Amino acid sequence: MSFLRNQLDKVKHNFEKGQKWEKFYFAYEALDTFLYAPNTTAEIKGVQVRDAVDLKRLMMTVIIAMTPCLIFGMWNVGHQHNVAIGQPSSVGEEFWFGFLKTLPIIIVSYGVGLGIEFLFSTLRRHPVNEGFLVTGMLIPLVMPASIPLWQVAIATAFAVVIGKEAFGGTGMNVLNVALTARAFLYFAYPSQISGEVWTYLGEGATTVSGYSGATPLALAAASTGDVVSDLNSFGLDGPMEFIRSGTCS
Amino acid sequence: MIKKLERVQFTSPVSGEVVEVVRGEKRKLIEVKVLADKRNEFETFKKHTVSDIANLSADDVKSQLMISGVWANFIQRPFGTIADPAFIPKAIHVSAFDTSPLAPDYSIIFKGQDQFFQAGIDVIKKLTNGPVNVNTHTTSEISTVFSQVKGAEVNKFSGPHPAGCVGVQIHHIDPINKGDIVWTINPFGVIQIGKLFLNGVYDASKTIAVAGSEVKNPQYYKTVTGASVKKFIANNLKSENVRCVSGNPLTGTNIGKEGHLGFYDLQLTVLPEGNEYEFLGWILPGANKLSFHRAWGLLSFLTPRREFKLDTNTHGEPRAFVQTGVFEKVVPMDILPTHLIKSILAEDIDEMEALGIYEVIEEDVALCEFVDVSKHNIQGILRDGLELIRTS
Repeated sequence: MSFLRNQLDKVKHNFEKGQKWEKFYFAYEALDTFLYAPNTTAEIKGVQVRDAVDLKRLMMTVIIAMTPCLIFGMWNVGHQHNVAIGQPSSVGEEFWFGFLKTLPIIIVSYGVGLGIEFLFSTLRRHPVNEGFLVTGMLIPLVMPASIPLWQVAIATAFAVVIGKEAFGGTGMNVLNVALTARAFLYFAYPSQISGEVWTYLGEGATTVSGYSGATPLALAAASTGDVVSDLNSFGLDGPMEFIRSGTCS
Repeated sequence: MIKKLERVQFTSPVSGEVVEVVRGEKRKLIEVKVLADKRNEFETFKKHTVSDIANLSADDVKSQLMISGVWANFIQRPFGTIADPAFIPKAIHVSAFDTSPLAPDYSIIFKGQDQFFQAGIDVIKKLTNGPVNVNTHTTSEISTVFSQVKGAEVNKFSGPHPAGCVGVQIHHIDPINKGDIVWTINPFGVIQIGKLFLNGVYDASKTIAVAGSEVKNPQYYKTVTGASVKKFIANNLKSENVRCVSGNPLTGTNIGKEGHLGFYDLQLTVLPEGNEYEFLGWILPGANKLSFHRAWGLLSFLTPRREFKLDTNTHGEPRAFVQTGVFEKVVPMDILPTHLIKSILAEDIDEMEALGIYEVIEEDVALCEFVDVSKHNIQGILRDGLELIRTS
């Protein structure tokens, strides 16, 4: 591993103050500290020993804690899809379906968000904070699987710039970044984030007669005529079965 | 509020000649190096018998304390500066135990000093209208130096560090409010004052602990205030890449291998210098990493009694100040350290006062600095806040 360290040390001086790539120091620092915990030691006065934790590890812990949630969410996307179109399949297939549906959202969220983080670390000369590793996963977790990817990108960009960087970056933000993304979509593109968007159906797929996206109460509220007959015509078995199977709207 | 304490004198711990004066920015005095002669002669001050001391007035006591050089033992709260003799403190507090890592055992380093400690208490009692509090620990064996003391209130504390921090003790005995002034002094200072009045000399001799994982023979040494550390570490180090710290690992100062012991320090700690990179050090799990947190891969919570060998590496890089709620767990006081530090960063003096800045000095928040995930210099930030108020 010392080869990698040597390579990093070889280019490091270019990023230091007064050198040609000075602007990109924090981008370099992000990579360097990702590969190697730094060799910095305690200051002259104050604590001479430090706790082994750092912000990266703390954020990694949060990500690990979110993973079960993400895995369940992926399976649920597939499961709800299958329930809706009336095509039963195995847990593995359902997970794989959800995984393929969710992965692009995660990639877009991380890609756009980290891109902006690096951009601001260069413009504003502040370290790339690991907080976005958590935010980048929270954003897919609060979005419907059917969300268009370009909306994810815009929402993430808006959230990172307005929700965080405008206030001075991580630790100074007054808004929760992931929820800012969600709120942005809610107001900017309400039709893609409210109503029957939480179950991914697929292009041209038709639902079974007993399928319900929203809860019976929401259906009743949306009903224009006779509520009872509306619910009956929809098929009471369907919603009840749906609720029993664990709806998640 | 800044005042020069012109009557307070600083005395050389040994007789000899001044060989070097080290100055810093703006000619700030940093070090005066004295080459000790073999005789070690003392300037003599007025001697007193125990019964004489009882009849002394506060002004007599003050002038002898200031002219002899022992005055600097008094630390004033708020601000943690040398006490201003113009004030009469609400109380004087003495922490009679040290809970910090690798700290010396007071029952060893102050052994047999009973009469001097008692005389010292009798003297400092005259400086306050309130009580003199001697704070001891419930579980450790209390030396007779402290348990038999008369004329002071003996309080008992329990628990691990920072129970030994005098600021934490004051908070639980009688908290400092805005406008209050209390003084603190360590037992060494009390004994030094006792020796001054009973023997008529400024006696700088002390027993210190030389400790740390890189010391071959950790033990106690008899020496004097400001002694060079060279002789303690000569042929006594396990490796060369080490850091010599005057004081304990939480609040000490890196003085280097040729440095001198600090005035208030009773401990020399030698730690391995951790100036090395660690590949993927931020994520690899390990049982050898000591942490207060239960984050991914940090397994030290499984072995709470194990001793760890800590180096001086920061284990991470400075990051934005994030709220983790962990500071509150290591400050056993009714204050909110996270909010206090944030208010100092914002330079909001009203907020700092409301959040209790007058109650704390650096040592009280040292553990916050240790556990901080963002690797900030919390003690330095607190000092900036205190100086901001003191100079405004």
